[in-house]
Amino acid sequence: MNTTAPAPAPASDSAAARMRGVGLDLSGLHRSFGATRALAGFDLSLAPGELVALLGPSGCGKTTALRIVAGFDTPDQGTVSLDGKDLTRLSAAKRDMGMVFQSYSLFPHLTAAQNVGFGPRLRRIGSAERDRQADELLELVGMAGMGGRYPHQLSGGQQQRVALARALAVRPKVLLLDEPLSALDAKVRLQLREEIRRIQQEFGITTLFVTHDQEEALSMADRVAVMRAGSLEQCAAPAELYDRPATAFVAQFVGTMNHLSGQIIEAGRVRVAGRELPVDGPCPTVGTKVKVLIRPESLDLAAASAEAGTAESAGAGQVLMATFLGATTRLTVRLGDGSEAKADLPSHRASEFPVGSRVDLIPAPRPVLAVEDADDTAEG
Amino acid sequence: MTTLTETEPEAAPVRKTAPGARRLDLRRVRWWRGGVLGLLALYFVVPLAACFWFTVYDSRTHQFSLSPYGQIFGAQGFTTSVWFTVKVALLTIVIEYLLLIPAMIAVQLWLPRLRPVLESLAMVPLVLSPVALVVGVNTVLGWGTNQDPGTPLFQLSVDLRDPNTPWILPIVYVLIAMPFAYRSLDASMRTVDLRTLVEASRGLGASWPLTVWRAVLPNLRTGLLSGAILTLALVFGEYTISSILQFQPFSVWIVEDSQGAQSGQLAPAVSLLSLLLSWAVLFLVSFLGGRRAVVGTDRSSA
Repeated sequence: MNTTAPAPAPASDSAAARMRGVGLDLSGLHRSFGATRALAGFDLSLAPGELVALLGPSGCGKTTALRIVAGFDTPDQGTVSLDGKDLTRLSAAKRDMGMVFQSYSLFPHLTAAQNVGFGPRLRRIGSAERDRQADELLELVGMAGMGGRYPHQLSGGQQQRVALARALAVRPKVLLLDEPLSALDAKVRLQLREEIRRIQQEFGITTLFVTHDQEEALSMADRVAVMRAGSLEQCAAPAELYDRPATAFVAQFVGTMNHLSGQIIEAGRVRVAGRELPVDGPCPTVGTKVKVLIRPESLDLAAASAEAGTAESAGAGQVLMATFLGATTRLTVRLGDGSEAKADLPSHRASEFPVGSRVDLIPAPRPVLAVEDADDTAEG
Repeated sequence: MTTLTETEPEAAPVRKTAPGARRLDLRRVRWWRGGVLGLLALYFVVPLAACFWFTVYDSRTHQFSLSPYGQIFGAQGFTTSVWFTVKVALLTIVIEYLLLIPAMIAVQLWLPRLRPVLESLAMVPLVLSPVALVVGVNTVLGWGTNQDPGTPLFQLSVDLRDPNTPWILPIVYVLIAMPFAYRSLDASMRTVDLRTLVEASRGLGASWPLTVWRAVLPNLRTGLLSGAILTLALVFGEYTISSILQFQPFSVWIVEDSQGAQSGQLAPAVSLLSLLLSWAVLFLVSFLGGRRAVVGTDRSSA
């Protein structure tokens, strides 16, 4: 689980003190829209106080799953339960969940404070108490003194802050975030995601966060659930997801991945770029041509060992492009078979390999994922 | 408690004037544009000015007098007919919105493919002649009253035409006012993200009626107001249907009863006054709508 600096203990009567997370379970969710299957047996469990990011390409079903949890849609099959209590058929109004939407969702005819007080007013909380809560929550989200402003008088980031305060005002059992940062510019997005995470941890509120931005998911979530075609591919802590992807899809979807040609030489070992590496996970049969998945930071370079006129090694290539990224530089290398590989090197080392220079790829001696080469299979 | 340390600095400026509002610069109005505008103004102003002249100038005594305007409120039948019309108009507006609002919300949220159907249905009354409509209604009511007394159909036909509870008028007026109310509401609905508003409200714990009352209707205020004013104006001006069905609302009173007043100046005075009143209300709605656009629904600065 991600950790941050411990937050100051909330006051006993504060909103944070009144909220604690609960466990959320999604089990065997199926949902189709006509011929389109949005969810196909989707399972996910959230521990109390955990923030799980639903990550996946467009159309993978992540928003459908969130809308089913919120009660805005009903699954064809499967259940949603909160602390063991089945909510699947319960109306959205009775679920006690707070949601922040992708589009600006503040009520345009109400001020920021009135928006925050909308939920408490429905719960018949008196106006004095409502105002006190609204002030407290607006201060929490960095909007102190702006309670009298209407939504059109606020920037996009400010509107989303108020929307977060409004969602928290109903003391939700679960907080649902539907790409709340996607409409904001990069700087505000970065700032707000750190702050959402800090508030979520302070409140200890169970949170389901939908995003298509892998950086956002990896930086904010305790666990990231990668979805594909309506089902779960892998749900793991960000570091595990990145370092040990369970499937080729996760490996390709999260971060940048090289696909180097290789061959299984014995059970659990693959030869790639002239080196032998252990295979992580399922290993194709001996002799199978495979694609070996290696992260750019797991590739090193050395000046070409083959002299002119002699046979090149399997990992030999030529530097095509250098992209400066700050502390590191990404070098794109064209290999002898015409494919390309990317290697991230510290910038001071990358300068040793100018564009056009001949190099040898050196994969780090770590277990790698190997998947059957689709081209080879098709041909064969 | 931890608080967010800062907010992004790009808070939207508070707009003080309506977008697009520009001061009219008469020097930039070209002569031909002025000519077209002048003709249009003459088209409206000349009849009204002539009407006003007729009401205040006595051709026999060659004197001006505002006395016809003073007689309006004391004229026999005036208050009764106005009150009758107001009741019918309010009933019309209530029935119209009870039918239209749920239907339009349902189509927008769940059945968007039915939108063209609803739009076509709402526009049908535009091509329906009021005379044809009322003749049909009269025939059906007549058929009802030809049934045996005491049968529900007979009683219903009688009740619908009861001068004290003239339900048949708002029922028919709902049909002829439908295109105006629909257009006003539809224009308002297009300016808001109805689905998000509804889901935000439902997610916060509001029941469906509360969602419509507290989250949807306040954001359709301009459309609701415009539709109501147009319906009110239509009901106040409608003559054919009420006259054939033998009711005496304001319009029928102007034509049939106020003509008997001295020198015939009362009827045009009443017409002129009601016209000015309608304009005042429409300007007020337009003004409120303009303010609403700035205060409530304009999100361009987001």
